[in-house]
Amino acid sequence: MTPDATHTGDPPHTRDFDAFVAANGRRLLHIARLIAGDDHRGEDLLQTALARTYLRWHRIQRDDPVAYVRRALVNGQRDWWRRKPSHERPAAYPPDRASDVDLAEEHARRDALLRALAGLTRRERAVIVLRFYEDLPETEIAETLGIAPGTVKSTAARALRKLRESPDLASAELAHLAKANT
Amino acid sequence: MNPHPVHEPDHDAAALRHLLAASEGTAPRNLAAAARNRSTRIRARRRTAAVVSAAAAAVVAAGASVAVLPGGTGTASARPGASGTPTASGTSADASSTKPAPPMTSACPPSSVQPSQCLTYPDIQWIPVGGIALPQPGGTAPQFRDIFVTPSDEVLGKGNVGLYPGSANVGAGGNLVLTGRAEQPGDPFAALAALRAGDKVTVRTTTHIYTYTVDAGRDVKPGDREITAPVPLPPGAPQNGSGAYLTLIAAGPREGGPGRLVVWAHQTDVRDA
Repeated sequence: MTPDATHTGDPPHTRDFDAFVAANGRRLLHIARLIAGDDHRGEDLLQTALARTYLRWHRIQRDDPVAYVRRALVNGQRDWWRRKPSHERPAAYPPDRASDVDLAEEHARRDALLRALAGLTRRERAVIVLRFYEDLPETEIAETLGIAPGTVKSTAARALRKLRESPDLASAELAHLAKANT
Repeated sequence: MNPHPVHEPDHDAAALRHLLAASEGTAPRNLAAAARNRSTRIRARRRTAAVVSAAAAAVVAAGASVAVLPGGTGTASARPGASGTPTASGTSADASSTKPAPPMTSACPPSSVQPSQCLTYPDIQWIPVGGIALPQPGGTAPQFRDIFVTPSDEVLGKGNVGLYPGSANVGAGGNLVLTGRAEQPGDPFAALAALRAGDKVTVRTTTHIYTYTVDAGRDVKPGDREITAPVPLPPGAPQNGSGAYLTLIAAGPREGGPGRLVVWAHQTDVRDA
């Protein structure tokens, strides 16, 4: 718990970067895990995206670092897919994870969500996450993904239809949740 | 409230939103430091890619090992910031240099033979994400208090302010909900009860200074979840284009009051720090 001299001596942009990660880390990690479809690969994806962000930090700090990381996540996911297609494991269930923080029910819900998202294409998954978790407008999603706004709209509609028909995310649960929400 | 309907029943979208938000995990405490560490490896790889030789390959191999980082001959000079363009704002350097560094956590087991080779990192929970200053009664100069993401007793007990669960991020728009102690003079929110409509509250990050204008305040009962709504109570609060609000919550019941004191404000100015 003693303050470390190496950190106090760090340049200010390192502190700014750390503060940025502290503020947004949890949210960015969730995005990464959801679009990667796997917790471990999501963490890896985010770390690489953040590392690239840090390399250019002095340039993007004053723009919109969150948007930059989002793009880095989407691009990283695409690049990874192109480079190592054999790494995709179309398993019915994601592998077991070591986790002691999630309650059982929460855990089951997460698993169901990840399984349901695994039934979508990469682009559908990204659109769903940016749209319904990040609440981005269609134009911004289109910009992040480098596709046309119309494509975002049709992709979101198709993805929602798939999710509604997904056995993992039985519409019963969606309906139940909707009732609890209103 | 969604301006971009996708021609699907709204309740499914609402349920999906809820599901996505409810399944959040927690970020590892060394996230920032690990990412910075990885960036040195990326940089080292980029450098060595130009010089294709056995020696270059060795540097990459060394760079891939966390333990070698502090003493690594090839990667030491590639430390981030060492050669980076020093364009980061000088003002934030001055402001932050007086603050104590966050406690460091070590990835080493206690029995580690060579602790010098272990990676130590600032605990993400103890990295301030901004500061807040309330106008003080009697014209005393306002003092900035650190804002941390986790509103733990330890964080608040040291005179800091924390993000209330469900709050928006500092500087991200939406409803920024902060909680701090307000029991004694010297507590960060001691002046909360003295705030009046029209008072200016300042929130700053390393890059921006945000000014909020107080709208109203009142006591709320514990467990009132409405206080983190994107457009906060009271419903009559002025709508501003940025949709950015500030909600301040006293971290305990007010003496003699029916509940905790909450003050609402809306953003009226954004400046570069």
